[in-house]
Amino acid sequence: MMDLAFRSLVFIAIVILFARALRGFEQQYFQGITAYISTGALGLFLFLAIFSPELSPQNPYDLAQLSIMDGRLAPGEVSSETGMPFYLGTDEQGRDILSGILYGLRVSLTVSVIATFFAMTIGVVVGIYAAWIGGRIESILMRMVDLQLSFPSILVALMLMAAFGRGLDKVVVALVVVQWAYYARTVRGTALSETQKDYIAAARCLGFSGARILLRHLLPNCLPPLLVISTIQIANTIVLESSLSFLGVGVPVTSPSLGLLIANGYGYMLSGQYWMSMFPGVALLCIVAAINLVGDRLRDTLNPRLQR
Amino acid sequence: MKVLEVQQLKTHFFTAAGVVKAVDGVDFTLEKSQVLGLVGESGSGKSVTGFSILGLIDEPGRIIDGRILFCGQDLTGLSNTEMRAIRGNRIAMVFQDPLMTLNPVLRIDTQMVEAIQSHHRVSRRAALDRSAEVLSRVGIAAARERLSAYPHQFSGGMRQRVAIAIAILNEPDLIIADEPTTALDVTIQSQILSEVQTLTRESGTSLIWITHDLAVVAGLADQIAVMYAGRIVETGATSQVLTQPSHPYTHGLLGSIPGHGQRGQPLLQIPGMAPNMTQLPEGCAFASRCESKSSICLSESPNTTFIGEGRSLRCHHPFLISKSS
Repeated sequence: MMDLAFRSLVFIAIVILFARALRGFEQQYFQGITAYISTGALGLFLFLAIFSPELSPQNPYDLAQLSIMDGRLAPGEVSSETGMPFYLGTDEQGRDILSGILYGLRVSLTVSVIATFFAMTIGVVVGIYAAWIGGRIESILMRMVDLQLSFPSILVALMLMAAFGRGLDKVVVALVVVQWAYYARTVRGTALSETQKDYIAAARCLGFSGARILLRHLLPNCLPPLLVISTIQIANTIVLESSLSFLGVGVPVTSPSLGLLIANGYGYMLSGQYWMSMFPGVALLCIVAAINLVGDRLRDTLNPRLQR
Repeated sequence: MKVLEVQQLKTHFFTAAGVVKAVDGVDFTLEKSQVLGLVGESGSGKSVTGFSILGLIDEPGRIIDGRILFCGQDLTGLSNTEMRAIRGNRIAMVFQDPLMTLNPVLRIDTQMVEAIQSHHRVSRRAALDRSAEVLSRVGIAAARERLSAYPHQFSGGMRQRVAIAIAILNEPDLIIADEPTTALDVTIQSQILSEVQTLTRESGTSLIWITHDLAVVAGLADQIAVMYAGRIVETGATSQVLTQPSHPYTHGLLGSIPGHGQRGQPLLQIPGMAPNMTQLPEGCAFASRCESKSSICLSESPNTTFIGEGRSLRCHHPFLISKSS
């Protein structure tokens, strides 16, 4: 478990990175109330996820803190033993749903950010190499991408999880396998149009080596569209991970994500005990919406076609 | 001293639609500190000639024949690594569209320092000094401060100055300029032309100025080579070619420039279109558009004939030159 100082650093680093990415574009970014709300909400969710141990009323996975007597309490009821209020109710084992959501946010976000990072790295390498080298190798790589994209991602992920078994690392691998192709295709498209531009020809005329042109001249010009799709892909990854967990092949029960929380309470929905599934569901909805809206704003702000 | 000698250069593109003979037997020589104006319409092979000299012909194109002697060294036989040491160092290139030739995400100083350091082992500080010096030489005020700007903070004319500055950074022996003023407005164009003229004169750099605008080369070039369908159809000293064009194509080109005295009169035009490069006719490529063609033009391609001091021609029926030349 990361210690508090390190987690604080991570949070501050994320805020600084975001501010730096927006430097000079704040005016364009903060247009309209949605920009403020979605950015604020995303910041809040990140804060909650990173500091969940400090913020949540109980550690939902410390069995010593749970009491079976508190099982399935409605939102607002009070623990019969400790007198602690459960604002969002409890599940069948007496876990505080609010604490569960805070911990679940953290798992969902960590898994999807890591998976997105690796998927993007692989996708960028494959895409940019394919665009640069051209010819038969490009065809082979891109047909692999097409093949990958022609399967529904949930199906591929399900098959992989069935083969690997459960586990956080395996979920990450499955998500990377499902997602890299999107990045590869996007990067190849951008890189193809960028290589046609004169500045690449000019770089060749200056006698630069292929590797230098690829890394220093081509890659940075392919990044803006990537940053935008990666924010939206994080949201997609969260949804996909939740679906996997809901279907029972995702994260292990010991570190439940939002999707697993929804799945746990699913059986009680029809008996009127809606809170076990609904609140994690609402949290999932809000974070995905916040990420998508922030991604949209970023795209509108940093779109190279509008800027340069 | 001959800086560049191109002999029988043939660069063909092997496309699915057929072989495109983009450059088909081009000869010319360029003396030190001379300016050659390579003139022709779009698709006549001017740019491909330039890229062939730099060894930057991409698949499916290939230099299939000929020699490119640069300071006595044949460039066609060099390996890619050897060519890289020449590109940007001894032969530089300036492109048409100044909005596209600078990398939009890198600062000017980064791009200039990179261009120096990839050919010379110098410190970053020395490279920066050199960059600032060259920038002020191409007429950019406050060069030091402008160095840390991004390309989009410059106007089109300024960017072309930066591109020219990058080209002369390493003091090349030869600069190939591919229509560098076409995208600029006329006032900027003339400023850049006069600056380029001064620069080449000062440094003794030779220049190949590729253009379709005869007015531009008229004031700049020492020699003119007119290209048509991958071949040089007429060469000679600028003054001679412009005043006494011998090839019907050059004649047509010059005649189609509107002038003050011809108000209200129909402008001379060259009928027809440039030939399809995959299906060049057997005889003279210009025959179908030529007013003085005869049966020999349709069956036999004209050879290069020398008609005077540095003056050559590919035509069966050239316009006669008066004795005084």
